[in-house]
Amino acid sequence: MNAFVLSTIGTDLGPVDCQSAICSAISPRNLTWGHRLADQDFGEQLPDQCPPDGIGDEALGPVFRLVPTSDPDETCFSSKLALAETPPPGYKGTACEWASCSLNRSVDALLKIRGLVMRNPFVARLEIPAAKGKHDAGKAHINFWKYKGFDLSSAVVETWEHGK
Amino acid sequence: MTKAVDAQVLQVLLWYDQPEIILLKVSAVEYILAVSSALSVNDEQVFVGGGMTFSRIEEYQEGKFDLRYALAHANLRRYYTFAFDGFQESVSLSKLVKSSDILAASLPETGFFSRDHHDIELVQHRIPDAVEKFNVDGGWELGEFSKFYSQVEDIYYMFNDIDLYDNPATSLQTKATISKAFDRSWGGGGSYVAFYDKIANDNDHVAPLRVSGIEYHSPGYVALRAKKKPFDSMIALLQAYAENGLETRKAFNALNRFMSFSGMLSSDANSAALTPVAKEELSKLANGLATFLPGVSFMSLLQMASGDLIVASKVLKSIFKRVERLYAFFEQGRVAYEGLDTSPLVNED
Repeated sequence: MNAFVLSTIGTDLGPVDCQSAICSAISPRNLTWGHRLADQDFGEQLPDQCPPDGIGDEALGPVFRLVPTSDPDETCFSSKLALAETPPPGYKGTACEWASCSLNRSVDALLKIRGLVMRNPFVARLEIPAAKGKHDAGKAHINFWKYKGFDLSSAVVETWEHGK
Repeated sequence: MTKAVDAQVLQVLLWYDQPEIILLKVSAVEYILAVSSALSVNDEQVFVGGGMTFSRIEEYQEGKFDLRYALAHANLRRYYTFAFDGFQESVSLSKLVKSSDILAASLPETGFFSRDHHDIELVQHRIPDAVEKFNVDGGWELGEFSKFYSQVEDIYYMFNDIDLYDNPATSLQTKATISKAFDRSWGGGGSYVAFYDKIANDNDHVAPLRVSGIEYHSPGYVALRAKKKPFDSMIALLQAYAENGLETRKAFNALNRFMSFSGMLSSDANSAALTPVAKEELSKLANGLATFLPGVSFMSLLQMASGDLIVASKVLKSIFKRVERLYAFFEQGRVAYEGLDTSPLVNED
């Protein structure tokens, strides 16, 4: 995909480079954009006041994510916003959550949803070093907002096909 | 697949790169819990769901059963499939039979509970810990506040008992606890006080009623923190009494006279000793009174009383007496509740 310059938003710190697929997501229905959009600390564009205050960037692991392939790349860990997805009707999460990568302490519960499992037949285990991104760790489900320059796929320690 | 109907998408309960579990609304009384299809890898926009009542969703949210159970035991065995691309406000449903391949393939495995996805906002909004305010006016003795609160409390907890007992998801243990309150010697007023004390105690952990504020001066108010569903049922009952007070009292008097003349009000009255004719007449009169008390099913009371016709009738009578006493405060103009329309003229004999 060709990269181009997004110049209509994020003017605090100048234009933001992004890929066309990402830029097509910038129809900010249900989202509130603010000055954090151009925050260069983070690897993705974030809504205002996101991530929330008071969360850390300690090392995190093991954490898991169901993925469609045994060799997941960076897009497997991109936020829904970065993947050009728009929150559907009935989505009750926040804009900030939409701009995060979902990780889990355990995928045992997710593995019980057969459609989800069919589309994501592999489990990736990650060990994320400290100072790579903010996260609301402590819960079974974790929202992760990566720092700029960090590729979550690089933290994948192993993958396996679940049930095998 | 047969008839198609529409449903509104209420909430995506689980999103994992796409919607995975969705809550939909078909009508005011029917909802659907749905999961993504697992019949084919190309079915990512196809969903399978089962009909749910609100009570059923509430029980699911409370973790009384898992998602597999919820779907496998859909309300009225209503199963649906539909396409949802993630952007529609509503979807078009097609009915399924329980034996459908797509349903069998897509039912979640055992052990996926509501804790594993977002909280269901419908439940959070519909059953809040609501603060309900009664405006009070006129002259009040301190004991009258207690009497007022006592009537509210008795009716409120009775409604919660009925809701619990009628809910198919309520455990046998809970139903046994409810029935146990009915198992007593039903003699004078003390036995009724003990009965209502017992159900208040049984319900306190699931639907606590608390005074959250009170101002004694006139005009003042009494504010109560309550579970909304039984509270709303109580208000609906008062409204029905406001509109049909005369007929309700006639039905009560007919039942009371029959029971009194037949010796059924004594503590040693025994339902098993009733003649078939007496049973039929008692049942008819009790059902006649219950028709004026919306939300109070005599059949439910009978089941709660383990089939004891006399006990169920006595409890029904006691509910009426509490409604009558409580309503008197409104009729006297000393209590008002926004939305409850009372008129003393309607109930003139």
